[in-house]
Amino acid sequence: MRELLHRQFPELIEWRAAIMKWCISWKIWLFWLPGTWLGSFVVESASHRESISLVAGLTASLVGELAGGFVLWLAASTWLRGRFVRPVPTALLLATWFASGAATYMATDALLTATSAAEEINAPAILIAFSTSVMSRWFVSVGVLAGFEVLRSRRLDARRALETERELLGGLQSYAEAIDSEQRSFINRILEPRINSLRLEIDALLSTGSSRPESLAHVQAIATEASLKARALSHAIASMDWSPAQPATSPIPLKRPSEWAAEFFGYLPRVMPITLWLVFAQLTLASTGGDFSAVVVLMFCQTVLITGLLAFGHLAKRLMGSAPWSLHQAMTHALFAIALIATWKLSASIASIFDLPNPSTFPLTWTLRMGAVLMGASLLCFIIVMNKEVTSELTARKAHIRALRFESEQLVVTARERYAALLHGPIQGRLALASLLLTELGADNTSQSEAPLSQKVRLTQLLDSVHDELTSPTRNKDNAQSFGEFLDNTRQLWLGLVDLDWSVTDKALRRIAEHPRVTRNLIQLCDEGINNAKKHGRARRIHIIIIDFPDESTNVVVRILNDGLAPASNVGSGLGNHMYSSLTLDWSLRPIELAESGFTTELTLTVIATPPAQPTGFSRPPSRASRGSADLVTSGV
Amino acid sequence: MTAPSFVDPHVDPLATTRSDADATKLRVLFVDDDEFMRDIVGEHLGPIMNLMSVESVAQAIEAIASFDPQVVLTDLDLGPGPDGTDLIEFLASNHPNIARVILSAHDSQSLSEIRGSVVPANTLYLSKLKIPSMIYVEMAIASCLDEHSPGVS
Repeated sequence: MRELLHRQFPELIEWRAAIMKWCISWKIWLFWLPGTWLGSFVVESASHRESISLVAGLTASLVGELAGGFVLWLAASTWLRGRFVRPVPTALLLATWFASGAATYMATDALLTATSAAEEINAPAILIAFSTSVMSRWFVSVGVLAGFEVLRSRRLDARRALETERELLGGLQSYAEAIDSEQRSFINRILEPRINSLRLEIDALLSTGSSRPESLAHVQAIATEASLKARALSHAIASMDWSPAQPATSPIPLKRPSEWAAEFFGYLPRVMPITLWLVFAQLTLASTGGDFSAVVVLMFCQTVLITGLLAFGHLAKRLMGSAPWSLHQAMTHALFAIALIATWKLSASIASIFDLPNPSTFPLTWTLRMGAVLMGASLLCFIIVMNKEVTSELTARKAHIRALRFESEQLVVTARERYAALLHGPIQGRLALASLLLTELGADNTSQSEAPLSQKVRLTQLLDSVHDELTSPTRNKDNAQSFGEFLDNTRQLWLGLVDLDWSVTDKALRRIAEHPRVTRNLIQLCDEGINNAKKHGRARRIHIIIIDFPDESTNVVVRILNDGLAPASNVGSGLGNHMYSSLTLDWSLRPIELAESGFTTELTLTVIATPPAQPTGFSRPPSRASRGSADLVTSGV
Repeated sequence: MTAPSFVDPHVDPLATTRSDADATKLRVLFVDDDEFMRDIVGEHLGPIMNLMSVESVAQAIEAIASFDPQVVLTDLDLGPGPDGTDLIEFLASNHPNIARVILSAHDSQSLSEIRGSVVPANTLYLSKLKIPSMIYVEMAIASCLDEHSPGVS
């Protein structure tokens, strides 16, 4: 329906944007709120003095309230891009608004009644009623909208984080594939034909037995040329700048939680004290016959209620940590409602104990007024809880993006280094050997008439192996292995040089095996840690400890102890450090103060065990086509 | 070319089980993870030297104890795990009397010193691309041995 409307009336989008641009400016409240109050004043005046048309006043007031509610709903809906408007929050938002409106009506009615009874206009009372009603509604609205604004920004951050992840993966992966394709093409077009030509010539040469020196020299020249080509190519690849290729997006300006908290609470000083004062002023002004004890009870009840809401909100967050979002939301509000009733009844009980006025018997005016305050407070609590959840989710996602970025970089590095290693190693070495064999063949005077069979076989095998390596490299292939297998293999590889041992429980190994990404990261990190301990620290003993993390934890803490040289104060910024920073939430390399079983250095790595789930509090993001990002949401918290 | 005669004073002749013919040959341990390279080098150096070929540092360290080589000839890139420089460092620290020769596809030693590896002094570096013949490998081994064992012909 919405799409149809947009197709038929594209200007609707522009109108909507224009309306929202106007609405989100706070100026609207300066005009509209006094307008609605004046509307209600007109209604009440008409009902009491019959000087103004009751229908006109009622219509004006109703239109004003409806417009206000609609604008508020539209603001929340549009700011949150239509995804946040669910039944319960929407109902709460509108109920808050209309309840506060009703409270304003009632207060106005009470004042006008009092004024009528006194048969004179009490200008200061009307002025105070006017200002307190308008300003309280204004500040409550600003508070709620400020909260929504913070949430909206957080949500946009989360969305941008997701988009960046996708672009990062897509861009870098295609870049790596392009490099792979380019190098593959170079090998296919230039190097491989030369190798084949070389092989044919040698075949012809050896099969005829006419190993003439000039022919040998010619073939050897081809071998040398091919070898030089391989060398030039491998040097070119090795000297390529493999620094991270950045996608075409700007970095995500993720704010720190403290910055967000400062921004959010920056609104409150402008809202809360004045709002509280206004509430207090209204209570004092319109309290029943100036009964101060009633005011105290009311303030006490409000304090208890808000405290209860906060406590239950926190409890709800703890209880609903792993529940689906819809259930989380429903139960949170259910708990808010229970808290509201419970604390209301509690205040009534306290009032009865101390023989004070019972708040539950207060007139409808106060019930509505308190309802408005409570619902506003519940929304505030809701926003605070949501903000905390989003902050936590964004922090985890930021760490995940770092890991993804590093893995993407590794794709590029691997694509280049694979060919550099291939060309430097098997290809170049064997071509050099072919050249050597040909030289020796040419220099061997005894084989002028007929090439030795072994030489022929060897040369053929040599060139066949070069061809095989070019078409299907045997080295540097991905070799998926479990973390336990990695530890066993690594111990065997370093046997005699490093005494490698580890303390990893079976439970931890099982948990690690559940997450292939964690396994890969741990293997990379531990491999780097072992290499660094040996290369830089001259370590002879290395002990890897994985702290047995509980199921509900999302982090794996790895300690790599070694007996090598203590690390320098400035550990530099090499590839290893880049890897540590990218694949971990936190890491440190420090000397051990009290040497633990002879170990002198400790590398501690905190690896996130489960990738962040989808952004909580928001609708499920659209399906992802790109590889890598698809598994972001496969495992829940 | 005749292999240089050499007697290792640290080796007890009675403790070895090698044949007399092998005992007179130079004991060379060749380390390369590429089977083809091991075969090629073995074919050339095997007839004139007592050559043992292994594919990893761990196997090399094990072979050093049993084979007691006079020269270790090693590639640098040995796949995952320790590389040739780790083996060379191990030899320099624990078996300084064993001559060390690197046979690498890297053009120069500086290119091969990756990941913080440093090739110890008194190590001969041969580029596979620059040697015109396997005879040069034999000559290099011999010269390296002479430097390690002055006074022994």
